[in-house]
Amino acid sequence: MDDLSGADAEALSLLCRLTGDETAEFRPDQLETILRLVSDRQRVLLVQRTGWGKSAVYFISTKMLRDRGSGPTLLVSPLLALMRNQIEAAERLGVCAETINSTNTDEWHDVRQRIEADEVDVLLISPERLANQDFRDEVLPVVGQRSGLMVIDEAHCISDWGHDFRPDYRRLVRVLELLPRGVPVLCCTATANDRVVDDVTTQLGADFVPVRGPLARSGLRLFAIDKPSQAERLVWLAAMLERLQGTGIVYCLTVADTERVAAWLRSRGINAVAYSGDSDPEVRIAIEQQLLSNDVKVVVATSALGMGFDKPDLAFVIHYQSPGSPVTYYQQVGRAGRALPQSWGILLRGTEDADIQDFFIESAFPTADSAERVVELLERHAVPMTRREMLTEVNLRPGQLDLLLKVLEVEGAVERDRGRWLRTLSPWAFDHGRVDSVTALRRTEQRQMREYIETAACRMKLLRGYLDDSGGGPCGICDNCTGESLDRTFEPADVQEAITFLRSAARRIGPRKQLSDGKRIKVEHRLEEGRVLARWGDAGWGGAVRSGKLDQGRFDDELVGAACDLIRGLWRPDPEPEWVTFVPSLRRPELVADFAARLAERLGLVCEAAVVKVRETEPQKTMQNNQMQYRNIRDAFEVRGPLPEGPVLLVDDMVDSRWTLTVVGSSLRQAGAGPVFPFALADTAGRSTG
Amino acid sequence: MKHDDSLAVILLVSRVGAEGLRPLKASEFWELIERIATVSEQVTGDGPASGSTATPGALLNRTEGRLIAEFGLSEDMAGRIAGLVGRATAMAFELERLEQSGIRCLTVFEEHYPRQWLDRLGPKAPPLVHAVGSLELLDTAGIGVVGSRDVSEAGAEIAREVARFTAKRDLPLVSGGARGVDQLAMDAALGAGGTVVGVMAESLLRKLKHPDVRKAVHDGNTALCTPYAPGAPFSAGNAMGRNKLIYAQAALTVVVASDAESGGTWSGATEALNRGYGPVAVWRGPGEGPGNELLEGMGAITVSSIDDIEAVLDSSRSESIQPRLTQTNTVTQQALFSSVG
Repeated sequence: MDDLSGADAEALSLLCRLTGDETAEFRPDQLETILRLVSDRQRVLLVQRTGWGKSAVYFISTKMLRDRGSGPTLLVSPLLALMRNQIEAAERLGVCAETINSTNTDEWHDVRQRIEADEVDVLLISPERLANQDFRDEVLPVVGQRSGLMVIDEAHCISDWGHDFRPDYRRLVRVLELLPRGVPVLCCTATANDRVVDDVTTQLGADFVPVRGPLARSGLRLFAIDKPSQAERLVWLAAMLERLQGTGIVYCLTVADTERVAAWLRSRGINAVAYSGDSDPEVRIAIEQQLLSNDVKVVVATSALGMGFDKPDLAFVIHYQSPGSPVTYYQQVGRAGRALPQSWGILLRGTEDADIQDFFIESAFPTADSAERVVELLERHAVPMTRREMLTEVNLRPGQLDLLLKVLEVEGAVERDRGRWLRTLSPWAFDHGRVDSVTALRRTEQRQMREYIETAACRMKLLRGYLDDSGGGPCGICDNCTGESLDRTFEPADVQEAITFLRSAARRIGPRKQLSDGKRIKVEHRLEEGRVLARWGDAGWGGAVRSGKLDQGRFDDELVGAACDLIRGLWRPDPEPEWVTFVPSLRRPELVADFAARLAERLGLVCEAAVVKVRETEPQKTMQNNQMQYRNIRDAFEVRGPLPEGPVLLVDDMVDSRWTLTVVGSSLRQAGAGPVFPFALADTAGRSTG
Repeated sequence: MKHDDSLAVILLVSRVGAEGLRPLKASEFWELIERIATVSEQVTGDGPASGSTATPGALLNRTEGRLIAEFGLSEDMAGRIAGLVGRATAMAFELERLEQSGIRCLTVFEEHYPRQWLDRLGPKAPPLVHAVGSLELLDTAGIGVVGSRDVSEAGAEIAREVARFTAKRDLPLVSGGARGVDQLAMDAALGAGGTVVGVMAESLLRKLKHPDVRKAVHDGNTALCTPYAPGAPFSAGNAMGRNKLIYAQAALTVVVASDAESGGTWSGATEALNRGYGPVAVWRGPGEGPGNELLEGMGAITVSSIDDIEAVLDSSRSESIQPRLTQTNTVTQQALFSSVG
């Protein structure tokens, strides 16, 4: 047994070395946690706000355990890129940390040898690494040969009640179940309400000792404004950012919105940059660095800018759209001003928010039907299948299939075998109850966010209540407490500028180069680069396209004008089209034909009905992947000549997978047409969320 | 949560990831368990190990010094145990991977571990098996069918008939899962709507790559198990070690065709007869092997028809079929026997 006061003093002297401060003292709970791990070899669930100093706990514990003969610490974190500073600090304790990830495979051998020689004190890995076969075969057995401390960072990812659920964490839970007591384990999170803590505790088992600190925040001024129109929100945002001191974050719900809002702010002379899960990791790190060093006024981000981002002097967090849950909102707004006397948390609500939230809720889980079909398919097949083979058999988008396989893998229904997938030998059934109850919770959270915006009471108190932190009175500094509103109305001319900006956001249609079976399309049969006027239902022209298609049965003259302006103005296809044709429909023969004819007239060109639809097809948007979409429309169209000479503008109303345009364009080229420039009114491709 | 006793068993005996370490043999394991149980019961006063009977979980989290001091183990044994137990983290990841594939590590402390093995094999009972499929079949005493790989057509037909009879009796057919008699019998049992238990001496992982095997497991009528590492290749030694598990699992094992004085079937049957691992019946009639008559002479029950087998089974609750226990169970095994499940 350790002499407790001895371990006490030892830990404190390590803290002084770690911080480089001889008068350093532990925060509440830090020493207790270290002693539980080192002296009692317990399992601890540590819930503390970001910036509390949990890395000091695991590095000091590592040092003490190593001095007592333990093996290396295994640290699992989704945020390795953000840990360089902590690793440098650890070196001050003589703690040597190594990382193993997908980008340093050439170093694995060396790291492995150094682990074998007992020279590595901490090995940092991402949760995804645990699913990697080479890592499990080559490195893990060596690390685990002499057990040491196991640290699981961002442990709330274990809970699918939370919004950060990561399937790979479920695997970690099972590993912990197979780990005997006496191997110390530390699970940490800065984000958890009672429900998530309860769920994490249930999954981890009763052996975990919870150590939980207060979430409370002071100095954060909360505001909420109902601002339905995107154009008005853009104008408000530009005006507000002129007034606000310091740097901050604007959160959006979709990747497209981050890009649009950042572009708008830049056009107003504000130093803004977009950030999402679509950005490259290096780009993301660079943007985070810019924000940390205040080299950018505002980062316009999806929730991808989140866990582990720690900037104590962040002056404001503005939400351009409302997130779907109080937990997410508190997590994001709580990044503002941790070390500032005053900071701003402003929530805007638009008309589109509810639709986007609904989309997230409805697509959060694979349906029972698709899950059962995939499991049944793999079971019937009995030999491992590739993703591509599966996509020809099940009507799912590749992203949906990937999510589904990941979930099924975690549930133990399927497993990977060198890039292929196989039904495991465990029984499996779809967990309807779990899905239903999580979905019901999401609906409750959505309702709570509506209440948050509409309430006349103290917003901080309400928000804390949702997070099971019921202590304390009104904050005294939110808009409802002070009676101060940040809402403003603007001159119509200012709003008109934003409307024009939104409508100019045409997107490119990139030409497909190969068919879904991998066969190349000959260069001379490919489409040229095209344009799409709007996203289906968006704030630019998307609304007019939707009402034209669904309500009026005719696309408005305003859209003809907008298309003409785009073609003549921003786009200017080269060589210039000399005639117009369109993609015919059996279901709605007039809609596109009529629009194409009016557009041709406006452009001063002839419109030829050169393409004929020879059989009915399912709507492409119901086909979920390339193989299905291509199969659906191939052989559905024929080109009837003779064709006019020269380049042609190919018009359709909607573009989703681009297969229809690709196939029709290729047929036109083969029938002797010149270069084919595709044009569509709206893009209906599935929303990108990350 | 897997119990610490089970985890300790796995860490002590599993050959998975045991490079440079020396996992305990079954007999060493049982001797150790007996020792720590006895020592802990003798300790009085307020020593850390006093008050209750120590089980394998007590071997976790103890330094070599404490293992020696508390349980009087040799330095060598204490060193082995500390090394084996120290790989807990690596083992946890490996077990998770196996469980992901549907391969369970079934220890003597867990439900569905075949109790007959403890009863009949004593200190030769494997403390751990790797198992797949419908595990409840493992602790249902079945009917064993054994015979050489190269069986005559007449012998094959006997194997099938016994298998169909087994299915009709609603008992699991127990075999070695190898080519020849094993495979024929298993196919026939499944074909007749029955259940099968395969006790494998070859690589379980490789066996599970066969689509037919996967389908059989998914259908829910099959359990496969092996006392060896899931990836261990076939060896004659493993086959011999495995044979006793078939005899010990089954209420009755029928030797369809055996060579005389040679081959795995012969060695397995004579060992089972000599050591009383389980009731042995030998087929006398068309399809029999040259060793069958000799086995009869060594005490195997003669069967010449399905009716004979049925008669033997029906009398199984009387003395004639009770295993002749030549091994003495350890105290701990007897305690387990009454507490498992």
